[in-house]
Amino acid sequence: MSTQPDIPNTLDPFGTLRALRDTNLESWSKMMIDLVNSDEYSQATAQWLDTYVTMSQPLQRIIDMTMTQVLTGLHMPLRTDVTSLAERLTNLEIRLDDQDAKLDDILSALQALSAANHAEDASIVTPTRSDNGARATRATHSVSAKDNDTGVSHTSQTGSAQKKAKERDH
Amino acid sequence: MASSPFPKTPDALQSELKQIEENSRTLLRVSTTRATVAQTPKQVIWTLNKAKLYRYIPVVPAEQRHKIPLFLVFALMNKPYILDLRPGNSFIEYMVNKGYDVYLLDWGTPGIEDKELKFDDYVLDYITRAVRKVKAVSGSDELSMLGWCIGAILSTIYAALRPDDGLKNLILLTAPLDFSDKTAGGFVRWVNDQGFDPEKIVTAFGNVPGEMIDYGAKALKPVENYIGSYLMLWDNLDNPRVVESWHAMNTWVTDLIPMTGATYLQLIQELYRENRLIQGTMVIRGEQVDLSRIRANLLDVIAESDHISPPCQSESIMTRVGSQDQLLLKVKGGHIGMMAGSGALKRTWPHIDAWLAARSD
Repeated sequence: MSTQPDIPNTLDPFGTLRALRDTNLESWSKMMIDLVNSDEYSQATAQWLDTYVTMSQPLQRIIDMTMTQVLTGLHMPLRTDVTSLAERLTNLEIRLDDQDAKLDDILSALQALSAANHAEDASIVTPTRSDNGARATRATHSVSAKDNDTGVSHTSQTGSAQKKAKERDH
Repeated sequence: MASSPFPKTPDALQSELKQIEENSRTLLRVSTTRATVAQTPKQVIWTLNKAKLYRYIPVVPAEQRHKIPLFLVFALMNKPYILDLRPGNSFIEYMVNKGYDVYLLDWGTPGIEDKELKFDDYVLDYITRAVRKVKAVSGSDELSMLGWCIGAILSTIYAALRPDDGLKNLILLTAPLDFSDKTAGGFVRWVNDQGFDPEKIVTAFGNVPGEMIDYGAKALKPVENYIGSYLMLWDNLDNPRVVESWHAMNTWVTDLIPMTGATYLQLIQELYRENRLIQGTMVIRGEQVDLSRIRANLLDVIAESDHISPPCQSESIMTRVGSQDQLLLKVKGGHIGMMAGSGALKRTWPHIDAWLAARSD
């Protein structure tokens, strides 16, 4: 080793800081923690923040007004227009998610119904294990085929399924 | 006789200078570039606004996996990949390897259009929907939820408002819930100062800048965060394990996101100042948050050296909930180090796994 551990290497840019840390870090750290936990620091920080915000607001207002005039003059959307659009999109997403949840409920209800029908069939004719599997597959296919008979998109099938579900509820 | 701090021979001097140059290059690299993080394979299974729900690709065969999925909710003002920092130092990777079906809710980065979002929206619009998706994808009617920091506040509110929605296990990590001690920690002191006006900040910025929140967190331990961290790195620049670990952590620490204005106001006013959650007076979209309605098995994990959420802020929840099965676990470490530090693999994760495994089948 080129130097003893307790002697800072003067070529090392961090050497002095490291030596300082090794000898004083704990007390230094404790002192700073006490400082930031003091009422005086809290007051000073609050005061500084308040001054910063108070001073920056008039400038911000001028920038906002100028931008509004410029963008309006250029027939460009304002920030408020864009944020309003974003909010509407999020609302749409939420509504879509609600529909997705309802669709999941309907599908699981259909699956349960299909399983119940299958169990009913099984109780009438006692099948072999392989027959049972084959019928289950047929049952699944029949549900799919029924939906496909409408010949419309997935969304329309959902509407159709919901309509059926509503009719059942009534 | 005192020895000279200067190298004794030209060769030694040259070697010393070369070493310093190399260290400087490494220091520059790790402090100015981003490490590769969040590498555990995953897929997006649901999105809403900026939020994404990830499912981590299971590595354990289905029949050996735990039946109840694990849903992770992280804080709002940092990126959630701290839970999946890098291979070998990833809680998510660890839990996936232990046979859990793991889901993570990533809140994304809020824009100015999200400034009105508050706890009400995060809990009732996002978490409830994500929970539904977790249950649908996993095929399980029950789930475990792990919330960390503000994620723990959100998880607690959810658990109290929707106790019958299948939540079986609730894990809270460094949860800032009880603010009755107005001298516990710097945050509580600062925001309770009469001169501190959160409304003015929100009016000025819309969303509270990540840099401002980061400054607050770092200022709680200024010497360690602004000097000690870099000196520790400088001391270990010849140790690739330490360097890469520091690089990944620095990538996360500097990857800041703002907090929505309305959430910030709610956090300061209703929680830090009025302590409404623990007192049972918090109202979320007209529903009172009654902690005694929480019946999920509860694991409350506290970091002994937590300066952001001091232990006293997390302990009293144990006496307020209705959970029969509850455990308070104190582990060594700080607010982040407890889960993402080098000791987490031995000190924290196995305890969480052991507790959860016994309640996940």
